[in-house]
Amino acid sequence: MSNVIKNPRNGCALHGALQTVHEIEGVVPVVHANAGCGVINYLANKSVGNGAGRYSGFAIPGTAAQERHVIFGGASRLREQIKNTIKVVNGDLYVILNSCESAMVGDDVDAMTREIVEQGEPVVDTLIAGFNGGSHYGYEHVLNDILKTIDGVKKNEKNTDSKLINIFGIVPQKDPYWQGNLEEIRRIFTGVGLKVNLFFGVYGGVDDLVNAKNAVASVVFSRWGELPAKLLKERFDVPYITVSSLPASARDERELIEKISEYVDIDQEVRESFLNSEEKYEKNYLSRIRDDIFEYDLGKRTLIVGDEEQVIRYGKLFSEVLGARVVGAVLTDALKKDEEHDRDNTELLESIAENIYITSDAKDIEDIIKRSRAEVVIGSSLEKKIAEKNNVSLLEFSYPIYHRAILNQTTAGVRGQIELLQSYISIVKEKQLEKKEELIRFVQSVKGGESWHELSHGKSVVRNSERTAKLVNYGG
Amino acid sequence: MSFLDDRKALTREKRLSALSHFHGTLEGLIDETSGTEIKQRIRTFSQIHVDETIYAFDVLSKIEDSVIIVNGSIGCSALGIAQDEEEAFTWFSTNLVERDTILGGDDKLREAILRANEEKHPKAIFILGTPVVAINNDDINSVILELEDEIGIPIISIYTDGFKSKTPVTGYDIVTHSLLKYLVDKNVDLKEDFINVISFSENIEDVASIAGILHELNIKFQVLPRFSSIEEIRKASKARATVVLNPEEGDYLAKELEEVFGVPYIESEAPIGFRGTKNFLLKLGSFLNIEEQVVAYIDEAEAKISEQFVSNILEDKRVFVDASLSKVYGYGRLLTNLGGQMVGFSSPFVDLDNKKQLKRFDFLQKNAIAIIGNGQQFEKANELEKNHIDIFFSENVGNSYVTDEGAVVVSTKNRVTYGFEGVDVIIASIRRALRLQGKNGNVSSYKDSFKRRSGNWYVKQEVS
Repeated sequence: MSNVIKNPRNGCALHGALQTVHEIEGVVPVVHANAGCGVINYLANKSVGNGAGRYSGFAIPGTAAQERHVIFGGASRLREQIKNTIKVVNGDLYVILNSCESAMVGDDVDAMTREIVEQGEPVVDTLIAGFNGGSHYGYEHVLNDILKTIDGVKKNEKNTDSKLINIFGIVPQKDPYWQGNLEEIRRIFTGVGLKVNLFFGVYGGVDDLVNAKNAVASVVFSRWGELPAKLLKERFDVPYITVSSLPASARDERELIEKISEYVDIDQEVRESFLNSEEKYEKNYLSRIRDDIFEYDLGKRTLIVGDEEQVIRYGKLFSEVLGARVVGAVLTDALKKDEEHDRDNTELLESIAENIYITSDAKDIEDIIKRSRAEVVIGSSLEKKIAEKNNVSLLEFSYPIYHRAILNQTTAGVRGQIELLQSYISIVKEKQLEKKEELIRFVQSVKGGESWHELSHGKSVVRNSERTAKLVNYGG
Repeated sequence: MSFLDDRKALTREKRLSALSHFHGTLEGLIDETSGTEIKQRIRTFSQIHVDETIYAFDVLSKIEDSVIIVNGSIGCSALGIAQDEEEAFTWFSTNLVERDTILGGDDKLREAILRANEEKHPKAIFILGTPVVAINNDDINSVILELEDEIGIPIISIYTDGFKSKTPVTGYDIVTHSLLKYLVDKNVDLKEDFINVISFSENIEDVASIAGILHELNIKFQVLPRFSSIEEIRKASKARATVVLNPEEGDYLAKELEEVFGVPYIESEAPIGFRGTKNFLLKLGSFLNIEEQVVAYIDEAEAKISEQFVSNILEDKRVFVDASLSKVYGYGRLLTNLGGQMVGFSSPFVDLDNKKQLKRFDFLQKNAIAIIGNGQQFEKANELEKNHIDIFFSENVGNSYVTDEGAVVVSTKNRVTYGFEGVDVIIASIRRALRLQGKNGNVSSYKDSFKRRSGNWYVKQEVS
């Protein structure tokens, strides 16, 4: 497959690192790049409607490197920028981010960081450049690099908290529902008496980074979190488990808690009480939609475009609950050759979807949708026109989603499950309505003459002319 | 003298001595820019800001029948997502990785051009330069030479690099230069009955507002280069005249069209506020010999606005305008007429051309705050708090920090501010903003010790 990409969606490693860092409360990113690199990421993510973090966008300190810094090196400009950032901007931790330019020029970013750390300032850095990978890569590597060095700048004796769990693998911004999903994960873990280091969002912050080594275990919810989890295992003996995706049903939640129970002591009574209540919640809503499942024939041919984790979560849910036939899964974040991660989801993916593709190229995706003869596509706003052209319903649940505001809405846990299901059912019903309207127009066009209106969900027909009445009677 | 003989556009710094680093008073700025050359300054602390690559992409993405190839690492092509339009245009990324920074990315560029042509059948292909390609010094032109004959459409290199200019409008100049050099029809013998309306940064609401007026006055026009097609760009040289919506952005294109292709440039001001719109239309009417019609139209519009105009809604309010220098006058005048006390302004750059605007700021005191810079929110935060500013009138995005400093934002985004219609909309926006005064604030992002200092602490004279 081609290296050139049409309408690429995911940004670079710097973008991933940047959006990861500025979503941690108290962390100030400092970008060593030309002026616009970080802005591009801000403008792209702004279209998605997750709101803006305090040190995102034009608030981000950066060297705004110029030609002279490319020719003569930009290390001294970086030194000046770090020093002055600490004087101007409130922050608990400053993270220096590298870029394509500084990597190509060969600026010694690490030396500049060390220099300021020696003065007792809380500064860490990451050396990954934009061209090293995509934004998911950036997420994982910047977390890894911060956790590797934070001990040197934020002193904290290891003191394991037997209830504390680190959460990795939910990539800020790239999962459009990251805020709500983190909150849902917290709700589940606190529901069984545990505590979580979420790092991001309302309940995250610098303290989570400092305390990561004190967790009793880490849970990695997608392949993009293995690296920091492994680091904590190697350095601080914090065990980790990897799961293929966020939970999206009461059963998933139970399996997750059971896995975690191998590493942490959970009160049996509290656990069962919570999980039973989750099952009750799920059962209530699932029983309410049974009529829709049958009457609207919800087991549609479905194709899913998105991050591997999302594809697994959505695919499992729609096939298990609605009987959807997942005719294809397009993984937009996966690497064709992944040597960095242990997690291999091939078998699982094959059990969910009939065909698996790895691409983020719009032409590839268009061809796949056309060939699939899917009735429903779960994807991003970039699939909108393709879906329209092919008369397919589109559910926008992967990055990027334009013209919406997505704050604490979740697509994980039993609450997210219901959100996903109701969206799926709604879109099928809308399509059904379109079909009915089309049929009305058809009948009108073939019968000629006056109009008639269908009422009461197709159960009765109000006839406003004798001719229509005859037509209906003949039809019956 | 035309610049078209040059291979690529000069940066604003080289062509017009553009300055994008200043923090002081209006008087100081007038003094600083009074000579034939403006001394450069630097910031020893800065915040990230737009660059010419972003501006160039933004314009190109609004040209129909074309494809953009972002020649760089995958991140640069996220510019396409930033447009948040579902496939209204197509862009490709050459997706350069570390290996390409060593061995060059020519093959990928070739592949991207061929794919773009085969899949979209565009009328032109634009290749947007990025930092990686500029540092690598990839030979774009030999790829273009090799393929242009083969595919039979213009393949146009946009010589942006992201680090040679501190003035992002250089991106507009670079696009202008390439369009004039490689697309605009050189046969200019026959003029046709339409005018060019030059727009680079205006949103669709503002363009529609002016388009509505021109339509009512029966003036035939085309909008360039935003919201245009390749065919319209080609025939720019056949227009009767050119007008520009924001002179500091579109002057270059209008002047070159006049000098090289003999299309008269009707110099005017941004059609903002009642007076700005009136001046804009009168100049146009005078050139087209339809003064009477234009005056009648203006009178009617004036009568409508006068009915609703309340001159004191900003009474006792201290106002700061954050807009391009060509628009500060229009906005400032309007806000002052509404009873506001304008205490300062910030603009992205001042150069030898647009510095004439400074002399028009008669509604400002000599010691009014003047900040020249792209973004640089920390400097604005410093002045907002020190000067107890109530209203921050801004055409930029991402201004939530302003509420942390005690002011309220009146944004020009997603609404019309041009034309007579814009006057009403601005007044309505101010009313809404006033209802939010003192609300939604949070703790400041900036240290008190910094805010106690002079805001220009980190702007230094450049030492060469």
